[in-house]
Amino acid sequence: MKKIIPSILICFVLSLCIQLSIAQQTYAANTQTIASDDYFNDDYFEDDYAEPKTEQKSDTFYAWNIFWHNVNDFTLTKIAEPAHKQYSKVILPPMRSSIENFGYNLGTPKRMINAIFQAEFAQAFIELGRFIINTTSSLGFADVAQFHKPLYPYNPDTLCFGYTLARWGVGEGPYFVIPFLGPSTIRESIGAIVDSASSAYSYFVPFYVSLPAEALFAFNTLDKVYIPYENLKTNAFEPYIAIKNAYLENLDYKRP
Amino acid sequence: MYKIFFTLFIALTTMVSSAFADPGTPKERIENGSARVFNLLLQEDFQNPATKPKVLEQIEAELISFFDFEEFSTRTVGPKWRQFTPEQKAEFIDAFTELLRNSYINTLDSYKGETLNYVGEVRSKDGKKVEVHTVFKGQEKDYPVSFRMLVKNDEWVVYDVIIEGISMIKNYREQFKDILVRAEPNELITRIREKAKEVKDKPLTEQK
Repeated sequence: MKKIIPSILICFVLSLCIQLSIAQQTYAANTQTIASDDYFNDDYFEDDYAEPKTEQKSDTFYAWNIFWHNVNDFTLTKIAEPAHKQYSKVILPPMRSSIENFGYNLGTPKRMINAIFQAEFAQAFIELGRFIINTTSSLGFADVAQFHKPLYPYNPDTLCFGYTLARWGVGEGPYFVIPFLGPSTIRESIGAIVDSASSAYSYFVPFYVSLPAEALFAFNTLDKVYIPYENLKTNAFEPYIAIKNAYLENLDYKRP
Repeated sequence: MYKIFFTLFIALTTMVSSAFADPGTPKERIENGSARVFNLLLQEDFQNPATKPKVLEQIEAELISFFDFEEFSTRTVGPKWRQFTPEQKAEFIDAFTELLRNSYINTLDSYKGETLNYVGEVRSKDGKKVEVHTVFKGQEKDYPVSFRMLVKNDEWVVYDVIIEGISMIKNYREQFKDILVRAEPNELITRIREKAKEVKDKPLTEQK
């Protein structure tokens, strides 16, 4: 009896949390809004030809960035892409998606930790639920949980440490190209380091298992990287600027 | 007596209102415009190689009335637009339109009945600019697409397309800004023409 009361209390508090967050969600769903003053700062040619202030994003590490941009470009298009094309001939799409799901499922603790850091308890519980369903049904090789729609919108993209830092008010910092990994900013780089350190399996298996496993999971879905990359590059006049701009704009959009 | 005044009043107001054509709402414009293009894309004539050019022509006409290529051009060049001569301006608009056409026209072939759903909009304070938020329902993934619009010749036209937060105009603008620091307008125009030719021979890769 003594054990039941606290658990009922916890359940009650949790359901309250979920309901509160849902209520907030409906309140935010306002379709027509009036823009703030600097929202449409795109009159580049009317208002005495003034450049909007937000445009001037500094590129502090330009020399480093341009060097690693070129190296990464070479590794991606000349080494990784041909390798992935061979790989995808042998490992067919169902296999690839199984590997992807397995890797994703292993990332649950990392996402849960971030959900808790962000006080998004509903998200944390969705993560836990998904982990239990997917692990018990298929050891994580199939995403069975996607057929169980949670009441609360599931936003896995927000469950990384970069987002958590942004939520805590940390600015994105200068643009920074990570060797062999690609475009990032200082904040996002720190986020990536923390995220990879908080991947649970790195504590249970030695690094010479976990690191290649991480690499395999990344390589497995590489077509999601190089196809948009090639398209952007084909259309670009100055690939470095086009990619930097696209990355930073997309980041602005994804972060709170 | 009142009757005459009343009819006169009605007649006058209708005359006045017909002189100023109603641009409608941006939402209607997006919905009608995309519906017309999607209908054309689903026609059997579009799949048939013999009749395809004719349908493509209709689609292009539809897109030209929908997107304002002059706005695209002025905004991608930015402040330097003032230094362009009228001939250079005309040539730039022509080259840039061709570039956009060649870059994206092939993506129409992969259309399989996806829809564009209205989600909401943001208006500027004076009501002259509107950003319409939509979701493009792809085969596997949904893409958030926003259209920035303004009224031109009594019609709402699109002057920027923002996909997943990436503004098409701003992306070109950042690159052109870098080029125009070193190069003359004519050089930029030549580079755009070259690029237009290049992307025509090398269509975009498709996500499988």
